[in-house]
Amino acid sequence: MKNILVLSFLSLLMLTACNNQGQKIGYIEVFKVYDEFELKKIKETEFKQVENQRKLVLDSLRLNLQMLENKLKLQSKVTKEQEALFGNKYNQYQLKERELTENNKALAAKLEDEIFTQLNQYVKEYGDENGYDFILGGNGSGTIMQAKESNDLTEEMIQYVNSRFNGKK
Amino acid sequence: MVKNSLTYLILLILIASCQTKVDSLQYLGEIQKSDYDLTKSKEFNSNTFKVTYEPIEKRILSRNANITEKEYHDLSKELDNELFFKFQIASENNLNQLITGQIDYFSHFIKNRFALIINEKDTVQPELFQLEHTYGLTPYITYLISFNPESEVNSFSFYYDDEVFGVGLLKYHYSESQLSKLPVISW
Repeated sequence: MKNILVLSFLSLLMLTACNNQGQKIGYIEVFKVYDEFELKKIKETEFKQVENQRKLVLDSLRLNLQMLENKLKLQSKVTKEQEALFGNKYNQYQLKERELTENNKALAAKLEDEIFTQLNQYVKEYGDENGYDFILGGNGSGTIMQAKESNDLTEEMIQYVNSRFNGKK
Repeated sequence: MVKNSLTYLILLILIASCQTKVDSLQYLGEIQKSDYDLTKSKEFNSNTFKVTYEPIEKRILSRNANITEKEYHDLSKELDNELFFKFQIASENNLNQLITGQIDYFSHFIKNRFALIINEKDTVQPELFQLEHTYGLTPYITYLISFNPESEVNSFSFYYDDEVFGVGLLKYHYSESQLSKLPVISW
């Protein structure tokens, strides 16, 4: 009976040790770190500037098209040449719109890649420097169902990644 | 007791903040020490971007360590307020193939992607910009870049806004306290 008790106690100890294994685990709120990352803010502004410039180009083409359309509507008779001209301008506008939308998508993807390349590296460096075995990313979709607040590294991580990005660490 | 402790503390702070004085022959050895943190590096995927600030003293003494005081002062006047950097890009991927394919970009146009921010406010563009040719023999490329700011320099940040390696804007900061600790030459 005594042996069984000792064995049970030892098993319990071993089980606890196996579960823990001295591993250091923390978690971050990914979206919050991403939103507060300074490179993200810079690139977002950069993207908006480009997007606005492209919008201006498109607006100007649209205005030309509308003016031509209004002019033709006021005429009693529209010639075939005028119809062809309007058709051409309309096609040009559509092509440009498609081209700029594609360019915006490509630029957004490129900038996002750059942001995540740096962010992932800095998170890794933080983990290495502070001896973390795992840093989990909570994103509100249920990847982390429950965690102690003491393991929340979000604020510390925001400071660290910005400091690394600014070359101050 | 409190007064003594305060005196020791002030002395300690003064000693810690003192610049090291070395003669011209010892300077190059001293400035290479990692304590000064003149080389800063960032690594992403398999690419490393490394910048080294080269104080004017180092530039002059690297050419001739046995220089006289007068020659040294003449040369340092010539270089004026210039700030020199070496910037190295190393890659485990085929860097040389990438460069050969875009040689004009890597030799000239990339210059516009560099800047120096003085005292965290003024932006300065490169003045001297030179790609060191290694004829594809090294897995890295090195640029020698200088900036000539008009204002007095207390601190600066070196910027490289990458558009080739997919990493974006890289910053390397040299603080006022760091720069004030750099060794000075005693003649």
